[in-house]
Amino acid sequence: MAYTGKVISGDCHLDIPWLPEDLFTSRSPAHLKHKMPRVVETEEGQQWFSEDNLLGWVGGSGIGLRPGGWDPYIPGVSKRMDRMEATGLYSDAGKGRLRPGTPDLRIQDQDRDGVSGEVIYGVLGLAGFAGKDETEVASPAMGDEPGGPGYGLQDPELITAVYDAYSDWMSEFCSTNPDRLAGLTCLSPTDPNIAAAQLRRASELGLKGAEINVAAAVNPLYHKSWDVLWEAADETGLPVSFHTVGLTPRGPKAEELNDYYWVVNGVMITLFQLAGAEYLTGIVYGGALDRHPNLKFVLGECGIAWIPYVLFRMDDEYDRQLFHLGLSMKPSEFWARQGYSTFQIEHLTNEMVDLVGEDNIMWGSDFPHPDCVWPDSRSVIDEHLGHLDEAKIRKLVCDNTAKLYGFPN
Amino acid sequence: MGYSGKVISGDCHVDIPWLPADLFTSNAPSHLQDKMPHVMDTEDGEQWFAGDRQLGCVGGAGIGLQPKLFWDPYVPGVSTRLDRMEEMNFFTDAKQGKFHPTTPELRIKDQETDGIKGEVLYGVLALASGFGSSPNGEEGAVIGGDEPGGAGYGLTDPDAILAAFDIYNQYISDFCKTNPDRLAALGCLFARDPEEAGRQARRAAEVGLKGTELNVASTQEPIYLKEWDPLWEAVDESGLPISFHTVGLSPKAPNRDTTASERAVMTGVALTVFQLSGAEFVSSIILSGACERYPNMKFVLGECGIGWLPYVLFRMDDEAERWKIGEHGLKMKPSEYWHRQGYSTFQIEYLTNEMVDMVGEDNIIWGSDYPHPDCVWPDSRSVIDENLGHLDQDKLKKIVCDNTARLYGFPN
Repeated sequence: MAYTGKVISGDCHLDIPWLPEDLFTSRSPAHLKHKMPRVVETEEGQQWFSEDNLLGWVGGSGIGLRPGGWDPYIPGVSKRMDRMEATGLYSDAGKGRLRPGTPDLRIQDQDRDGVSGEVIYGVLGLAGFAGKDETEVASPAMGDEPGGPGYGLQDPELITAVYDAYSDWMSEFCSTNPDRLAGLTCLSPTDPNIAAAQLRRASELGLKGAEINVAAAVNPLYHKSWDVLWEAADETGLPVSFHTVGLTPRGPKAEELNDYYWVVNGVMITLFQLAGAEYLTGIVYGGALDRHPNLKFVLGECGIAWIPYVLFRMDDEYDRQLFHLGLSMKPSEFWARQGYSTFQIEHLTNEMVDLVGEDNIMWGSDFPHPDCVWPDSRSVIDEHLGHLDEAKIRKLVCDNTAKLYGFPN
Repeated sequence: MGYSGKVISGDCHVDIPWLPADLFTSNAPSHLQDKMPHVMDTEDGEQWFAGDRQLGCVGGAGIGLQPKLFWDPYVPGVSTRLDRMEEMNFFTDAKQGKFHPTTPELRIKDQETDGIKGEVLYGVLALASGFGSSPNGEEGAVIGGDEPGGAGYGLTDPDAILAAFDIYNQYISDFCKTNPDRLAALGCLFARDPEEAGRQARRAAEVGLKGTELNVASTQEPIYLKEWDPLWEAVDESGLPISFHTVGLSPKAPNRDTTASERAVMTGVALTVFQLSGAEFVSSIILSGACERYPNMKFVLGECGIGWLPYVLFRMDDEAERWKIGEHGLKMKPSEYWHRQGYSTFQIEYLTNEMVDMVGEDNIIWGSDYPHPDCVWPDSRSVIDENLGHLDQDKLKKIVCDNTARLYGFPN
């Protein structure tokens, strides 16, 4: 049965391949300007660099076949990227038409997809993972977030400046179509006080939410040092997103990587969203939701169907021995009151939706990431959600996102 | 509604706290004697050691409150389930030398108390030092999962590990012969050499063991590498299923000393995501093509839980289709290999008929996890009634009895 109602995507992206080349350098404090991401002409084409640190290709797809992140599209590797290119997404980029980063072109791509609005995640992945070093076993970067060993910016001051520049620009970007574009600000992962200030500033700028890279965070989410951030979120009403950055399964030796390329990627991508289980348990057990009842958190692209399992596990472990934590409700009740998770393609049943909560699930297209369902969001929704109760579908694909991020109804 | 049929537990344990003090030293070749696990009297009571590494307290509960002390002693009031076990004098008896888990008549009596007719026994796999990082056993990390298994724990010498496993496998095979209709044990496989592991798998079949287990965290290479084919071949030929018991994920830890309340939260996170490492095992063994190459190989995700599996099965199929992984050695959809060759065990989860249909009513195995600190013994019957009692009766019987009986050859 075809769903004919309104659709708003609760999880879309704007990454460095699509940004104006002077975005960071033109909004930089003078003393950091030489480190700000900028576009360099190389033998490989136009690439983003911070000093000699490769951050990705202009117009890159993130196919994951080459090191550095956001490598160029190659036909025949992924069915979904071929589908994106059928609309000219990558060839347009080659001609300087960066559709995801150009307001009127982005709206056209929404229309092409039958979508009336998008929540836009940002350049969080530019901050490298904390605690990783380059001696670790190589792993291909095929998840959404480059973020692997050796990738990204490490200097905390630089990361803050990059995120601030992005947030300023993003607020202008969204103001061109405020009814259809809701951007998230990127928060410093290394200093909770800076993160809190960034969140308050985002609220003033008209951004609709915030996101933090848990993998680069100086401390786990349950750490009390984050309370200043939760307090800011609680007061401003801006939800905080923890976008998945994947798990780290074992890898083969670097020299064997090519022999196992597809298996390694298959394992990584299959497990990719399950990192959300750590974020969920961390934020619940740490008591942040108890202390800040207006704090809303979103597990970005963490998927849905594993959540009933983890909710049951939390309640059961709490009953067994975690009652020592002294929470005021059962762990699952905090989820129901304050948590959300997003997904792009999963076959959900009415029962699953009931177990997770019909008010806690948000569909998103993931445009323009390599595993997105754009421009086929409507058919993906019909195929995988079309059998749900009509009222449930509407909440999942529109109302929950509209309510959380303030889209017009 | 009470289920009144037969129950067999597909996931129970024998660990170092319950073994005879001289088991390893009296059976080891002389040149390995000094590396074997042995019991010493310490200020904290009798403890197992190998070299200067503490391996566990004799009769210990594994409560996880004392860092660097594995299988630490029972303390009242910490865990509702441990208190429940102690109501049966479980730990008090241990102090008096009455080891329920390894005394045949006491173990059978504990089965009776629990209303069950048989158990699959996992063994001392965790005695082998873990590879790389693992949430348990690392410096400063939280203990609380079942398997110590970290890099800082256990035997490191390959010959000593091999010998210890061979000794345990013979011991547990003899143990099960006291009640062959009610005790089925798994042989522990050496994780550092697929050829040796294959030999042990074949030997396990010869000595009457009913399955094998491999500690994925202590393998030097991921299980999707072709180097493991000699083991899969042995498993395929022997007909004995191979278990990958969960060893937990590695959640982020604070970058400084932690307070007691922070450690409680860390424990909570580690425990809640503990079983999800099964997602790595199942995607590795299936996407590697091992199930395609060895169609008779059965694999079991030990204590990995059930409710997340529909999610992962869908993900595997969807990703395989997107990236055309079938062109790299799979002839069926990933989920079809699961249904043909995979199993997972759980002790306490609220399952619905729909979940059972998605995971497969022939692929789910209930177990009590006795005598681990998070086990449901001696309340297996009420846990089953409360969490599974609403299932279709034929599904329920498969999950709590028939699947285990068929896979491990229990009498019907």
